[in-house]
Amino acid sequence: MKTTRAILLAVTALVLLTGVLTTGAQDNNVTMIVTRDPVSLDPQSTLDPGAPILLAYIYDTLVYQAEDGRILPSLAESWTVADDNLAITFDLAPGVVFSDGAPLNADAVVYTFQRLQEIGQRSLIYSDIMNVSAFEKLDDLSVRFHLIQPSATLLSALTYPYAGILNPAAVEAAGEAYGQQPVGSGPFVLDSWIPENTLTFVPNPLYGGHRPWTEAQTPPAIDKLTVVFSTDESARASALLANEADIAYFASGSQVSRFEGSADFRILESPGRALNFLGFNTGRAPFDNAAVRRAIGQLVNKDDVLLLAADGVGEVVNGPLPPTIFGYNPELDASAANYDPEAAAATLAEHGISPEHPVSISILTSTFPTFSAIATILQAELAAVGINAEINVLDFSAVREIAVAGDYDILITRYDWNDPDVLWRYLGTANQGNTNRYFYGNPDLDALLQQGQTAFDQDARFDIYAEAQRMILEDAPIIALYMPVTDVVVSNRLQGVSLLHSHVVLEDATLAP
Amino acid sequence: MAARLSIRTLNGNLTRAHLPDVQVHLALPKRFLGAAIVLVVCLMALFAPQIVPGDPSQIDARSRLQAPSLEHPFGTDAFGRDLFRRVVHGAQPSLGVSVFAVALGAFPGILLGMMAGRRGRWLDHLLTQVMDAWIALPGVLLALLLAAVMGRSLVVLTLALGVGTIPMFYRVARAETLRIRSALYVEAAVSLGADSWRITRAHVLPNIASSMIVLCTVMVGRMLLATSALSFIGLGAPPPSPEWGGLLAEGRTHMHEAWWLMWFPGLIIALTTFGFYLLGNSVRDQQAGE
Repeated sequence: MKTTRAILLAVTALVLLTGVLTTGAQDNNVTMIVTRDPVSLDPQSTLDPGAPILLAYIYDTLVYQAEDGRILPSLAESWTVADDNLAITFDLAPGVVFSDGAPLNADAVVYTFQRLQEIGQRSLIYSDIMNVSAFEKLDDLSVRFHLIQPSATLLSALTYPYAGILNPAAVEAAGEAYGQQPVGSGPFVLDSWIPENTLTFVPNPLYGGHRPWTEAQTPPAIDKLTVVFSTDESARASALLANEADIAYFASGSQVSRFEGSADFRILESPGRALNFLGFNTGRAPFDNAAVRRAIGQLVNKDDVLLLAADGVGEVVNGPLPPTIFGYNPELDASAANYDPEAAAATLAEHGISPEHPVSISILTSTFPTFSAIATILQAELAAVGINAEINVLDFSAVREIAVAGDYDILITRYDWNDPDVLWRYLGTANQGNTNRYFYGNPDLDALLQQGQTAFDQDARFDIYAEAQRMILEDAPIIALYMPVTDVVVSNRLQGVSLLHSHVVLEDATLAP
Repeated sequence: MAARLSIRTLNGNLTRAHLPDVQVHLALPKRFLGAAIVLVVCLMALFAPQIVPGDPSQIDARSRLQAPSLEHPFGTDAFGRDLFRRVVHGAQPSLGVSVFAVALGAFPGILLGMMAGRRGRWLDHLLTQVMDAWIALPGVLLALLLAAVMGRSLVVLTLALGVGTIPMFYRVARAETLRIRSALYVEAAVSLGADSWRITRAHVLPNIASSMIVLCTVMVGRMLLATSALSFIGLGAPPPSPEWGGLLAEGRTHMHEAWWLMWFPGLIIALTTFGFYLLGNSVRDQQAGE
């Protein structure tokens, strides 16, 4: 009997202790749930759309883009564009250092972009940086970019964390492992990384508050930022409700509605610059035929897709640019292949596809939330016209490999960009095998899109992209579905949090005791 | 101490005095209930299109996430698909995988078990070693491997589950064969000059058949659970198959606002498994009686 009582006592004590320890551990730490592991935190060798929200904790860029679209100074206090538009000179803010104490100077900037040119076509901003013929160090705090041709897109490309300024000594010292040992000048430094499990960041003690969009003049007040991964939206919502996390991203409305009107949580919404779309493998039958591709565009009920996959959170888009990107033109909707399933079935029948003569295709997509739901809807709509689709939902890097190899028919994916030049990145012939995974090449479109890159007159540029969009709608290598809106649910325990293009700004964050 | 003793006595009394009666009373409804559940599920598998006409994958955005009603007895899912129709149409893939998987395991398992039990010696040693090693390999791991190599499909699922059950059939068939081999009448048949093949056919097979049937029914129930588990972790039938485990997994996303999405598929899986167990049990009880 005595033994039993002793055991009971010991167990009770242990349970109490566990409780104390777990609540105590949360004290000044923030846990954030994101969709996936970023694979690499080397900003120059990642195409993962999940990476920028994390890269921004570590790296600073020369310029940044405000929520309203204006491009504003960041590391570069000011910049001047030469009269012939063939040179831009950046003047760096003095006194900024990397987290290891090395100065962030002109040498670091020159090193960063020369490395990007050498590393090859692995970055979304590669084509912009390749337009620079020389990076000239004028003095310790000023750098001049000499351009091959005038560029209307360079500055907006430089706002992305992909253009984060690297610390030359740290890159050289880490070698191949740099993607796992990043060093930047941002408010946080990477503390530990268990791949596909957790990333932990701690404040950068040398951060002096040089980011103009935040008020903090000191390192962040939180002790630790833990980033965990989950592709399951309901699991993310449950983790928030169970106080296992303070911040979580959501791509569909059904889980977010669990937090509406809550006293313990608030919902932050980031105006999207993204587009969810279908891309066709134009290199093989049946989608090597533009008429068949357009018919699929008529077959898809985009309102249903938005409602069923994202609970109606977002906006249906007809053209290849969403309303938040310059160049969006609602007049083009008339030339889009709008919902008309009868016409679609008739067109497909003309091309030998009907329920009596079915074809089999494969739909490829990643584990990104909402994508497999989109695939399920598409599969049902295709089945009605005699297209039997097999769905492959794989992780991001597997999808890239298969797509680049051309072993798919329809790809469900998205882009997230701030300039209409995104059309060049995703459909330009030169980007085939990289960001253009549709085997699509159209010299006329290439010419237009390259014109758009060098057009400074806003009206002329608008017209160029209107024509390009008309061409894309006609040829239909991709079919726009909807512009998603990213919702971030934040615990009210955490104050002073804001969003900057889906990135959760934590510099000014404080935790309630 | 005293309290404990009295309970034990009470137990003993109960068992000895009343259990036979209880068993008789329970056996009939048990057998009936098990057979009835299995029959209903089999009818669902065979005649789903007649019972609930229409395409179970038909999407309807307007009737999304509706609670159970007269029009939709089990409610509708996140794509507006009628859950009752999906559950009924799901009987075929769910039951199909289980039955074929058991068949796939039973034939080689029983055959090898009988061979081992009949021949003995080195063949028995070798086979038993192999089967013991096999049994150590978890079925889920095997399913993962197969899915990775061959992709996700009902055939792969059946194969993965079926191959994993071979050792169970092997072991039972071998033990039963050994038992019958040593029975007096078989030894008599041997002494009368009956050859090995005749003994297997005329004495061993009929005698182990009933226990094999019991094993099969129990295994079907178990396979059904395994199928659901594999579907739940994403290794089951590819969408839009209404396979029950898949329905359960799909329902998880919306379980907070739509309880019926997990409740009905869960219930049908539990009921069917229960039905097969009851059926297997009652067949065994009947044999024991005989």
